[in-house]
Amino acid sequence: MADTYLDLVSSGPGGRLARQLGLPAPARLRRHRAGEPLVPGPVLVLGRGEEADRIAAALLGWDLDVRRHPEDVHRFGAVVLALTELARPADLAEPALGLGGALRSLAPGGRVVTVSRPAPGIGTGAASATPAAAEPLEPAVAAARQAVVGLLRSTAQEMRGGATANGVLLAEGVDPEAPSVLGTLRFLLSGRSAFVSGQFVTVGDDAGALPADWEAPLRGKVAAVTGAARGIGAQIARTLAGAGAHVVVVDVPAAGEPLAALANDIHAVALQLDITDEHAGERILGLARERFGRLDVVVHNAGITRDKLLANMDESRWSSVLAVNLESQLRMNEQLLAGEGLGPAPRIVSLASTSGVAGNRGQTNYAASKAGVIGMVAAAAPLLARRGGSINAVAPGFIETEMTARIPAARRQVARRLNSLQQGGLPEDVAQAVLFLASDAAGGVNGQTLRVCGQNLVGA
Amino acid sequence: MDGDRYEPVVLTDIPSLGGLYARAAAGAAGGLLPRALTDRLPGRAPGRRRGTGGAPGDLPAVAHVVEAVVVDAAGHEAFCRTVGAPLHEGAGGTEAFSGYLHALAFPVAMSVLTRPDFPLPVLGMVHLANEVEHRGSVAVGEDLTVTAHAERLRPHRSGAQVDVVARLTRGDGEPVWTGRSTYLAKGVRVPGTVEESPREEFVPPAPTGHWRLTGGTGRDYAAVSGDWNPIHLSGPTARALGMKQAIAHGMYSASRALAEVGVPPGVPFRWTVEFAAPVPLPGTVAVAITDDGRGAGWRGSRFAGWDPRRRRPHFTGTVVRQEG
Amino acid sequence: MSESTPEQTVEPTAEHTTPSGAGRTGVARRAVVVGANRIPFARAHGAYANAGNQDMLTAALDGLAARYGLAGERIGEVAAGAVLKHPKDFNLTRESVLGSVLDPRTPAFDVQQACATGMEAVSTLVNKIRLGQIDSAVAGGVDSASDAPVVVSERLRRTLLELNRARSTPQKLKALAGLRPGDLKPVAPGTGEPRTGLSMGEHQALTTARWGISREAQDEFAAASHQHLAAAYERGFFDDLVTPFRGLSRDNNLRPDSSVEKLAGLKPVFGKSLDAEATMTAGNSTPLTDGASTVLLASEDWAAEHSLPVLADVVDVEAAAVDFVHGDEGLLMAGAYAVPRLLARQGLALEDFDFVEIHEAFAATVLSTLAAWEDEQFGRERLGLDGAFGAVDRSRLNVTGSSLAAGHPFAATGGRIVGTLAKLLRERADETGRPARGLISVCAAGGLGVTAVLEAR
Repeated sequence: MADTYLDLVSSGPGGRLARQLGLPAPARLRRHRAGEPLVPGPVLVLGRGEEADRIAAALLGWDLDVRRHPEDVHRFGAVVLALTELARPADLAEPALGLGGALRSLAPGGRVVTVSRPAPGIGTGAASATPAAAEPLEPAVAAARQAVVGLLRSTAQEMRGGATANGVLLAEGVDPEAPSVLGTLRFLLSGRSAFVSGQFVTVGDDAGALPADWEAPLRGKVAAVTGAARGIGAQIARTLAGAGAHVVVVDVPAAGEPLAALANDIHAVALQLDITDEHAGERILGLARERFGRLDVVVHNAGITRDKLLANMDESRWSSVLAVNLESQLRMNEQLLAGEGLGPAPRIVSLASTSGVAGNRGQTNYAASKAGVIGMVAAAAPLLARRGGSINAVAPGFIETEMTARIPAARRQVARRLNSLQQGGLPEDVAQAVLFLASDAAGGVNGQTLRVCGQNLVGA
Repeated sequence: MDGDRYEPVVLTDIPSLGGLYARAAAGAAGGLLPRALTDRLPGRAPGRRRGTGGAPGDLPAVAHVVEAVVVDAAGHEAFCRTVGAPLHEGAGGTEAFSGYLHALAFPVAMSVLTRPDFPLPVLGMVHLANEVEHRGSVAVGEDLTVTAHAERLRPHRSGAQVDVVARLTRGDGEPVWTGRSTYLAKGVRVPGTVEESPREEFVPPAPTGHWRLTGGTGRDYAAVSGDWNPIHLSGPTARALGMKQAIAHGMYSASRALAEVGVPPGVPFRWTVEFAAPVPLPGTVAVAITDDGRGAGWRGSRFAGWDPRRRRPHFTGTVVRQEG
Repeated sequence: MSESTPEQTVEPTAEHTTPSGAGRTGVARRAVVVGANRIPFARAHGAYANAGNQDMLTAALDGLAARYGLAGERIGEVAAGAVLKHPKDFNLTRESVLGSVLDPRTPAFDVQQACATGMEAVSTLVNKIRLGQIDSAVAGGVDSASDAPVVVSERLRRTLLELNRARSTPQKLKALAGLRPGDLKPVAPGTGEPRTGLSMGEHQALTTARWGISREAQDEFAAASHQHLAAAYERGFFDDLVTPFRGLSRDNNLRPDSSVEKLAGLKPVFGKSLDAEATMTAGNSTPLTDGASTVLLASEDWAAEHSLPVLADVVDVEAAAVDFVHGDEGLLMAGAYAVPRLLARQGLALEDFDFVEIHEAFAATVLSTLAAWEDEQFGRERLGLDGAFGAVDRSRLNVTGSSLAAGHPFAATGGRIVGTLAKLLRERADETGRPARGLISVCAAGGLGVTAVLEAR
């Protein structure tokens, strides 16, 4: 799983060689470590208006060194563009150029985050679920808003030194200090979003709540993670447990040995269960209720691949992938919502894939299942919202796991570099995105698919 | 058997069985052993050598006596361990195992058989049967007098048979143990008529146990009984004496069967054993012990050992409670 | 967790609400089975050839901890054992606890009662819980026929001990002098009964002949064991009873396609020198097996405090022994005596049980036991009853298979059966809404047998 190329170019001579040869020079990403500052330097807040001021004030509330002028400091940890009040495209010039001026002085691992409002009906990405606006927008307003998308996505591709650029979109009427606006902003500023770049997260409403302790956003919550024995699932379970959740780790009986080891390591409860079992949802809910009184978070991580070109695809490869990756999630969700025992703000996070966004040769079955997940969370969002909860998906790109380690070496190297961060992500990058969406700080984010792909250039 | 008919010959010590075998071998081989060795054997009267090939004469009318034979604790314990006999602590100390008492008396009995005037060749003699009256509890550490004589020389359908009677008595003359061993000398003819006991066909009963005997069984038993007869020790030594392979000591089998019957402590009893086909070593013996009562209510047992594959008997016997 | 437990809450009943338990009230409180875990059983010299008893028992404990969230938990006491045990494993259970994720301050002790080791561990700990001495416990057992101790010959052993005691060189040389080359060969660990030298199979062959159990009946029974175990795996019954180990996720002795026809082709291996037809084959006998099992036991209060389920109560246990040494009774027939005594004490009859688990040392062991219970003479003369003891409804017997299919790592079998039966009873009680009762009988070397009554409320 080790990315030896990354190790090589991170060394002095290796890096020089890579530059001379015109090879990509991936940087070490800034990842969340408890005790480290939220951002690696002062935060520059650009943009005008009352809402921009309130956003800057909110950041101050987190004890950040907040600046409103680019020339204040020679090196910024992050730049926040508060653009919720754009009225026409020309309003974008000052903050865009201000950002441009600040980029050179952005610290390695720095962050650019735009906070803006969506242009309804256009969409910000493959899978955003922007609610239709009650009233049509002025064309100039819509143009300005949509311009932010292009600005941000291109900026993300120009970032260096492991810095990322992402946007928060506030649906019409959502207050800039709504819990999930601040929660999303904080996630995107933090090391928790290390492998997220070029993405928008839409905050649909004022739901959600900020945690008392940002290091333990799931304190007291009960979470279940499927496919938890290994790889990304195991990391998700660890991350949720580390965030204070009681965790039920679920995997097929055959994976029981690593599952038990993980459970014991993170003081979780192991449940050996095939999620295609017709009662899987009831079993998970039942166990969580029995042991912990309720179930707050479900992470549908379990998934399989059975790659084959469509021309060679057989029924079992197709059906098994769809059954495990998609149909089981649909059935479990039905059972979870029908049963007694979900907490007051239930959150479901499903694992999709960039293959489900952009497709992937040899993965018609897998991509179909993952695209289906994206559709499922979008459609199920209102069902969860009615229960005070949310459902979202995380779509990982190339993540360094046992599974991707089996990809032939040359293809693996190419796959790693095909994104703005020029490297594969780590399971913890996916887990942090899951944790964010599982937390009440993302309560106003619903029905969306968050890509954790380093801004994969394919299917962007 | 009336011991008074036999002239007592008091030996100063228990004879060494090794020496007795050497003596017997010397007799068989016509003086292969150094004279100096054979001369030291008891009862040797110069010039009175039994001729080879002729008709045997009468049994010597002597009883060999060894006094103050101590039932040795270490030797007893080693014997019991080898045949699987438990040690019982009685009022007077550890109760001596009846099989061990046979081993204790055996050299004295052998010394009668290896007398130069004994009419049958000892090497190659076959142990046919054994009976023991175990009257009173003998304690380990006790002094006993061992007396042995031969009697009842009589014909057998394949030779001549003779009984060697050994008695153990306490100082006051009270007999505590009497053993009668019947041996067959093949091919030797003596006057008289053969007592034909009708031979019942052996039908193996349901086994109650299996003995898995290793090639070392004979050596182990030799070490604790003192009976170093080469036919029991190893394949080569047995083949040197014309056997196909080593065979177990009959008294090993008998002692082990007696041990497994498990006579309750302090109970007088009589036990008998008849030997059929020898037990080859190494080998497996199927064993059956059939009880008449168990524990304190034990009245007696029958035992049998046989070849489980060929279903041929090796030995059969009885142990019967005697009214004390 | 059983499939149907979501509605199952653990509420202490009114009479047992005092946390002091039996210690102060003088009334024994209930001891319950919370759950169980075992590793898949593996045929000897196979998947676990390089695993020792401690590895396997530790893995079984860790799997139990993972299932019930016991990592770092101090358990009242852990009791387990092995039949084939290395001398270095003198404190096997404690060492396994120390290697596990349980709180290292969890006390432990070893138990050994041959194949009934697991049952006796359960029994002892249940009694401690009922007495109020402990609130939680893990009973277990493990055996490795692959990693069995190699024994030196008796003469070599004595020589080495003598050598150890010898002070001077001449004494040492003297000690060594008695040694022969053959003494250096290791001795195969005996599977025979010490007192009879008969293997367990040979003993059972005598009993099989005594009760006239046919080859066909044994093969049918063995095939059913495989089919039942396979079906139970298929329906996920063992998902919360078994944790994979060393790449094995199911018992590898299991042959789901076992049939009477296939079994009929095997040659008899036991009873060949008897008058009766030899009927016992490798197919209707259990193979040498490696494996470990554990059972989590607790007071009702402890289970409730830890939000853990209650599968079943351990109601009562009865051990028996038979005098097999000279053939008065078959070696493995003690259960035939223990069960009638146990049921008499509990005022129960065979018909009162929803499930019956009789350890399948051999197919013929179970069939001989059933035959004895149905036999009038046996009932009168051996059990002191007016007639036959009774018949077991075969549809309630070993319904998820037993040792013939799963294998039989001696000391681990009791835990396997207790866990299996407790879950079966829970399922039945949840289905029917009324209590379900189960009976266990496990035979063991030395003419031993341990039996138990479990009940799910």
